[in-house]
Amino acid sequence: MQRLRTTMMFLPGMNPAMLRDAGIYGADALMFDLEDAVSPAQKDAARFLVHEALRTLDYGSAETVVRINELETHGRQDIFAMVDAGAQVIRLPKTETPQDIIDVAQVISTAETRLGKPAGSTKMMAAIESAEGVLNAREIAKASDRLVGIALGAEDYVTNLQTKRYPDGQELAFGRAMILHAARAAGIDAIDTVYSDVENEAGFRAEVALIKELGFNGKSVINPRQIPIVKEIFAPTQVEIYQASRVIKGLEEAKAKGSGVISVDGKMVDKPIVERAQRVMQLAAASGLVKQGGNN
Amino acid sequence: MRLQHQAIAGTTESSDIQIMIEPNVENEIAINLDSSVQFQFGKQIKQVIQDTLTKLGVTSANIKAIDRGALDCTVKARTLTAIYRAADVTDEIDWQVID
Amino acid sequence: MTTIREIYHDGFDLYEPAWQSLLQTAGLTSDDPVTRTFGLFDNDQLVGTVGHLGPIIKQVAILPNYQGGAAFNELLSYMMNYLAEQQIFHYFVYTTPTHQAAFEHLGFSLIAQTDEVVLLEQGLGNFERYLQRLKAKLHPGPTAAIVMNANPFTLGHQFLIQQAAQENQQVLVLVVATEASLFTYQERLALVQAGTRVLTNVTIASTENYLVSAATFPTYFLKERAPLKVAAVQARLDATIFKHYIQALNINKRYVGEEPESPVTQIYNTTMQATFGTEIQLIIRPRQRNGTEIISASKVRQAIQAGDLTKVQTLVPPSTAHYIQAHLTDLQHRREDFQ
Repeated sequence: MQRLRTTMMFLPGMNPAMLRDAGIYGADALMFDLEDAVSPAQKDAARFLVHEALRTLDYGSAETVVRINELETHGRQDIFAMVDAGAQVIRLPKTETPQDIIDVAQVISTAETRLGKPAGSTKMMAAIESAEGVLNAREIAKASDRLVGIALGAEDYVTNLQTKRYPDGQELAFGRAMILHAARAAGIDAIDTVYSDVENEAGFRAEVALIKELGFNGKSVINPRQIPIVKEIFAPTQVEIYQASRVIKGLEEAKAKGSGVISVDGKMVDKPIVERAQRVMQLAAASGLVKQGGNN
Repeated sequence: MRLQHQAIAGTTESSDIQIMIEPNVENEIAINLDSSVQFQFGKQIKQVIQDTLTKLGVTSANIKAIDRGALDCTVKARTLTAIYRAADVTDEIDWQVID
Repeated sequence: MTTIREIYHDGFDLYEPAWQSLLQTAGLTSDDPVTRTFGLFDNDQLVGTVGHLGPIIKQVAILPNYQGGAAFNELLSYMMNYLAEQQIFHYFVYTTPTHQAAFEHLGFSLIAQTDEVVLLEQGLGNFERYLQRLKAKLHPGPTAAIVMNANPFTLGHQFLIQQAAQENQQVLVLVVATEASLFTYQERLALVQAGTRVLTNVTIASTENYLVSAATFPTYFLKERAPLKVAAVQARLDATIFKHYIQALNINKRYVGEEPESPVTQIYNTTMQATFGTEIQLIIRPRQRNGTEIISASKVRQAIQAGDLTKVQTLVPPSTAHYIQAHLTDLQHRREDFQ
C-alpha cells in the first residue's frame, strides 16, 4: 500500500522536548530538521540528538524524514549518521539539478554499504527552493529510484524570484504547477510548502484547500495545531467514500474470480479510477472515517 | 579518546541536559550531577553518561551535568556531542561504535 | 513563534529604543558596557533581553507577560551556548536576591550574597574548588593577603608587598583577572612576578574573576565615573566574597594601599573594614612617595600616553620599566576602557 503523506511535521533537530513528543500528534511523516532550524555551531549537537532519538524513540507508523544540510557543508556526515540511525527518508534541501540528487544518492549508497544496511532501503525526498530547481523539476523527480517525493520550499523560492509570500499565493502558482506535474510524471508524491503564520487559521485553511484542489499529496506543517486542519480538508466526503468503497468491492470480487476486469454496477472501471479509490479509502482511514483496512 | 580542552553541549531547557566536560588532572572520571529528577533517576543518568564515556574510551574527564528531565537518548546525545567537541573530533565519526 | 536575534548598539538597530525601555522597566541601566546583547522576539515584538561582558551575564530583562519560565530559559540557554562558542565555559551573574531562584534553576550556584545583591556562577568552574587550589599553593599557618590590579606594577605595589613579606610568615598576592585595564591580565601577572622574584615567602595567584571582577565590582573599573552609592553595594559584596577566602586560607591580615585620590577605593577600604569586623586585621598603608609625589599606576599610564619614559622610570621597578619601553607604541595605541 502506498504511504500517505498528507501531513509532514517539521521538527527542529535541536529541541529534545519536541523530538520526544513528535509521535503523538498523528502526523503521517515527521521531518527532523538538521538544516535551517539549526545554527552552524550546533550542527553536531543536532545530528547526535536526532541520531539517538531515531534509534530509541517510538514514532509509531509515522514516516521518519531527515532534512540534511547540503553536501558541501555537513551533508555527508548527516547522511552517515541518519542512515545508521535508520531514517526512512533523506530529504535534500535546495535541490537545483538532477546531479544534486545523484550525488546524494551516491553518498547514501556508500553509507548503506559501510553501515551494513540493505542497499536502496533509504528513500529520498527533494526540496525545490529556487527558479533553477523549479525549471529542472521534471529531471530532478526522475533522477533516482530512491525518490518518493518532491516538495516546494517557498521561503527561499520567493526570495529567489524577487518577491515575497502573499495571502493569495499567486507568486507560487507556476512553481506549484511545475512541481506537481514533475511529481506525477515521475510517479512520486508532491508535498506543498509550510504556512508559517500559525495564528492565521483562516489563511491556512484557504491554502490547504487550494493545494488539495491542485492535486498535492499533502502539506508541510510547523505546528501540531495545523495537523487536524489538513486532515479535515483532505478527508474525503461521504459520497467519495461511498463511491470508492464500491470500486474496492469490485476490485476484490474481480480478484476472487481471478479476473483482470473490474466492474461496478455492470460498468467497467479502469486503473486510474481504482487507484483513486484506493487513495480515498486510505485517506478516509487516516481521518478516522472508516476503520483501517475496512471497506466501510 | 582524549579530551583536549573544555566543551559544553545541550541546554538547561525543559527535557534537555547540559553537559560540561573537561580533562581531569586526576586521571579519573568525576561526574557531578544537578538534576530536577535526581532522586528517581540520578543514578541512571550518571550511568548513561558513564557508559557513553566508556564506549568512546574516555578514561579521564571531569563532568558537570545539569539535567532538566532529559530522556536517556538525550543524555547520550549531549554527552557524545560534548566528548567529540572536547576531543576536537569533528568528522569521520564511527557511528557503529556509538550505537 | 519566538526567535532570538542580536541587538546592535550601532545606531541602526530598530529595536534599540525598545531594548532601552525594557531595561528601564526592569530597573537596569542601558549605558553599562556590554560585549553583546541578544533579544528574544515574539514575532516582531522585543519581549526579553540578555547581555554579557566577557564571562559576565548581565542586563537580563523580560516583559511582565513573558516572565515565569520559558522566555527566561530560552534567553539564558542561548547565552550559555553562545558563551561556550566563544570558549567561555565559566560564567557569572550578578543580580538581585529576587532572581536567585530562577538562575539556580538553570544550574547556577551561589558564590556570595548581601542583602542587596547576589553573585552566582555556572559552568566548569567552582568557587570551592578554586579556594582548594589556592590552599594547596600555600603553607599551613597564617597568611597575609593583598589584592591588586597592578595596572601596571609600580614601586608602590612592590613596597607594599615587601613590607607584608617582612611582617608575615607568608603573603598571598591575588592579581585581578578581569580584563578591563590597559595592561592585560597576563602582562600584569608577569610584571608582579618579575618585581617580587626575590621574596621567597610570597605566592602569586589569580582572583579568577571572583574578587574585584567586572561581575562583582564594575564600578571599580569606572573609577571617577562611578556612582558612589552603587560602588558601596558592590564593595560590600566583594568584601563578603573575600570572607570566604579568609576562612578557607587562614588569612589573618589584608594589606591595602591608602588611596586619598580615589573615592571608590576609599569606599572599598571603609567597607572592607566594616565587613571584616574583628575577623582579620585590615592594614591600610600610606602610599609610597617618590620625592613629594604619590606613586600611582594611573600616573604611570599618563606618562605612557605622554611617551615620558624618564617619568615612568621614577614610578616603577626596572622590570616594569623595561617592559613599557619595549612595548611603548603598542601600549599607547590600546584603548584603555572597559571592554
